[in-house]
Amino acid sequence: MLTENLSDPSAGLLRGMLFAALFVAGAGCSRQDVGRCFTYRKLPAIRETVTDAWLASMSEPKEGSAKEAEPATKPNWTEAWAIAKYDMRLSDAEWLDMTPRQFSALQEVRLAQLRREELLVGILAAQTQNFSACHPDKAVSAEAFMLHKFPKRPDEVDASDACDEVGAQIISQLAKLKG
Amino acid sequence: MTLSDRNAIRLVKPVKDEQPIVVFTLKGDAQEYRLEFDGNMICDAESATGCNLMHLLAGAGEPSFTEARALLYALLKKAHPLVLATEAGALLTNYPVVLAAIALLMKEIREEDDNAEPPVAPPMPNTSPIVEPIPEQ
Repeated sequence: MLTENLSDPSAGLLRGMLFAALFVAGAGCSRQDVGRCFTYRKLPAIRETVTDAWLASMSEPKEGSAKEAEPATKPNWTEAWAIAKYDMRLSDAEWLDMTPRQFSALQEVRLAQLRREELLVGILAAQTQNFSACHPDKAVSAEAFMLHKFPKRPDEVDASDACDEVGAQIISQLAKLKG
Repeated sequence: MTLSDRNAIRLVKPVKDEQPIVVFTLKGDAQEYRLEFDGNMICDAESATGCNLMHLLAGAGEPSFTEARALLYALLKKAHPLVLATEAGALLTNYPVVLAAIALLMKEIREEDDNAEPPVAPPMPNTSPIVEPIPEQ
């Protein structure tokens, strides 16, 4: 059942999902009881409701371009369990009680915390490097030391590209003056 | 047991809270086949045949033979629990009669559902916090 296509659910999959949802909600009904509710006319409504509930339990699509927002490889069940266990310190029961949306929200908070810590360490490292005896010609930003970079805003222009463009304009103006 | 001398389809009108049943017999066959719609049997038939019956029940397009066999198997299963999918497939040899019987049952179920009273949802427990008005000072 887990390998079935949720965009095109079978009656069996709908029965299983509805039973699971009702079971978690505390309804004392069996799978057969749920199946008995499946009348010819109710099937489309059941399909719509179960699909809506499933989508509502999923995490929201991330902002920004799809390529940037989506991780290169999505974690499988074992990897998600490992993240929950090791990174989030969740018990098995806590993890299994969560919807993917809740789990995703926790991951976002954890990522924000990680970025904050990395930025603080990055500020220290950047200050040390920029004011050292062998400081670089171009100042290093604190973000350069971050493992989890801040996402780019859609209106944000790459600073180095902008500098190159301005530099090229100045050089061309100077060339004209010399001429 | 006497062999039926003709194909026949009969609708058994339901009494209160019962599903309609269609009974059909095939020429040269002594068995009487009863078709009844049951959600659990639809689900079990999907598992047994690997066929998604939701398209067929949604009325999307003409059914393939595989889908027709799976649906017939599901409809037979309640009255004939020991029936096999291959036996349902064998009945499709006489498919005009069998499909007519299925169509009659579906039509009856549709009308039955149309006439049914809408279910009344049980009252939900009041989970909203009690807000008391703040006295003016």
